[in-house]
Amino acid sequence: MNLPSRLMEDAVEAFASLPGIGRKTALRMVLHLLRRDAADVDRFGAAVVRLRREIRFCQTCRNASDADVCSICANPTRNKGMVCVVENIRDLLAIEQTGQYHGRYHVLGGVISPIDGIGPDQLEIASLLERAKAGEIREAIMAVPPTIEGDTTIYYLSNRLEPLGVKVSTIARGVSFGGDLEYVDELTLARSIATRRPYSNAAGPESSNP
Amino acid sequence: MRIHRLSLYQYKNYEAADVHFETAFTCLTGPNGAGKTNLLDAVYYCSFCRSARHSVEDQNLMHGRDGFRIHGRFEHQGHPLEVEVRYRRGGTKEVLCSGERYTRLADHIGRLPLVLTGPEDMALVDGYSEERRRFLDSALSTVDRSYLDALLRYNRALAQRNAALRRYREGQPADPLLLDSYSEHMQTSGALIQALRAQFLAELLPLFAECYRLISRQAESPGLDWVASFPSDGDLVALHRRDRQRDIGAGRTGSGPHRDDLALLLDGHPAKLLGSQGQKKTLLYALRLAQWLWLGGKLGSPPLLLLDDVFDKLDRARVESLFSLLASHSAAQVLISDTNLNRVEEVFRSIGVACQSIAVEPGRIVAPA
Repeated sequence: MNLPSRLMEDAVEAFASLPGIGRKTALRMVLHLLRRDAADVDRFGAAVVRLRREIRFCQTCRNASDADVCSICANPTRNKGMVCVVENIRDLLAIEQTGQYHGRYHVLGGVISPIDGIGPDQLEIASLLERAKAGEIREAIMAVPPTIEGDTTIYYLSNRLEPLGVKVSTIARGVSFGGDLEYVDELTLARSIATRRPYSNAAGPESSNP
Repeated sequence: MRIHRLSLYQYKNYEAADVHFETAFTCLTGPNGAGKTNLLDAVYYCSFCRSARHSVEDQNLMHGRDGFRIHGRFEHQGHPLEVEVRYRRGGTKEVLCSGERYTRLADHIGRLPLVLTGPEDMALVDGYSEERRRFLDSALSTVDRSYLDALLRYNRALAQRNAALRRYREGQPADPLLLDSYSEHMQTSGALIQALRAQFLAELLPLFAECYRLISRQAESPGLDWVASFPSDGDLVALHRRDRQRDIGAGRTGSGPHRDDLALLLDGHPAKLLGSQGQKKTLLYALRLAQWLWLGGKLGSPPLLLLDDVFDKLDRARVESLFSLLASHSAAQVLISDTNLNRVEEVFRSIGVACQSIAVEPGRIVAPA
C-alpha cells in the first residue's frame, strides 16, 4: 500500500502498532481523522500525549491514577484490610465492573514465569509485602489465572504473606452462571464437583463479601 | 473400532487410492517401497491427527503437489464415524469428524483408539526411557482425562522449574521458595501420575505375561519393573531441596516421574541388555498386544490394531500364535503388512482364519489379490 503522503504513512504506522489494529483499519482511522476538525484532532492527540506523560501509578496498589494515590485507595468507604491481588489493570477493571467488591487491590504486573524471564523480582511483590508488614492487610484474595504460573504466584505469595499474619484466599473456580452443564469442559466440571460447597453456604454476594 | 474404507489423495506416494476393508483381518502385500507402511500411516493419521513417521507435514505430501486429503470411514461401538484430514502446503491442517471441524485437534485424540507397531517400534524395547514413558502416557491419556491433565500440569511446572534453574546457573541469585513452589506442584500432580502408572502396570503385567507366553511358547517368564526415581509416597519437595545445588549446576531437575523408567525383564534380567533379537521382538509384540487388550477392556471394544512388517519381527511359528490369539477376539480388526503374499496366506490357511489380501504396487492399490 503506497500512500500519497509521508505524514499519512507515519500516522498509519503509529495506529497499526496498537494491539488488534492492522494496516487497513489503521488507514481507515487516519482517513477519518483527516475529515475531522483540526481542533478535534488536537484534543485527540493531546489526550494520547497527556495519558502517557501525566499518568501515575498508585503508590499503594500500582493501579493507574491521576494522583499519587488512586481513587480506590483514597476512598475511605472501601475496606482497607481486604486486598485483591490481580495480574494487571485489566483484571482490576473487570472486578470493579461487578460492583460487588468493596476492598482494595494490588496490581502485580504479571505472574511468575521464568520461561518468559519473569521472576518474583520483576513483579510488584516487594510493595505488597511492605503493605502487609505495615499491618495494612488482613485478607489477601488471589484473583490470578488458574494456570501453573498463576498457582505458583499464589503459592509464593501465600508463603510470604501468611507469616505476616495475612489470611490468604483464592477466588472460586468452576461452572459459570447461566451455562448448561453439558457444555462445561470436563476438567472444570470435575473440579467443581471436587470443590463443591454445602448448599446453605452458597449464599449470595452479601454474605460472601463482608 | 472398525475401519470400513480409506481414501487417499496425494498422500505420500499415493496419487489417489481407495481401499475397502471387508474382513477382520486385512493383509497389505507388495514389494518394499510400494507404500504399505504409508497406507497404515494414513489410518494412524485419522486417529492421532498426525503421521507416525513424519512430523513435518510437507513430508507427507506427494512430491511436487500442494495438498493432501485422507478420508476414513470408521465404526465405533456401532456408530458410524467419518474422519477427514485436509492439508495444504504452507497452510494449516484441518481435521473433520463426521463433517464437523475441530478447533482443537487434541479433542479428537482418543475418539478412534488405535495401536500401531512397526519397524521403528523396537525403540520401545531398545531405546531411551522416554519411549517407554510415552507408551504409558499415551495409553493412560486415552482412557483417563485426569491423567492427561496431571501430566500437562506436571510438565509445565517442570519446564518452569528448569527455566528458573538455568537462570540461577547463569548467576542470578537462587530463590528457594520459588523452586519449592514448582516442587509442590510436581509433587501433587506427580503423585497422581505415579499412582495411575503403578495401577496401569499392575493391570498390564498379567496380560503382558500371557501374550508373551502365547507368542513365544517358551518357558522363560517376562516381567515389568517400574524404576521410579522417587517412591510414590516419598517427599519430592524434600528430595529437590537436597539436590538443589546439583540441579542448579545441571540446569535441570534430576528427580521426579519424568525420570522414571520401565524395565522389561526376562527371568528377572533386563532384556534390553541380555535378550536375544528374537526375544526382544517377542517382548515388543507382547507389550503392544497387552496395551491393545488393556485399552479394549477399558473402552469396551478393542482398538484398531496395525501390524507393520510383522514377519520382519517374528518367525512363522510366533506369527501363527499371534494371529490365533487375535482371531480369538471376535470384535478385533487387524491390518497387517508383509512383502510376501504366499507366506501370509499360508499362515492364515493353517490357522483357519479368513483374511482379505490387498496387493500394493508402488503408489497404487491393485484390486484384491
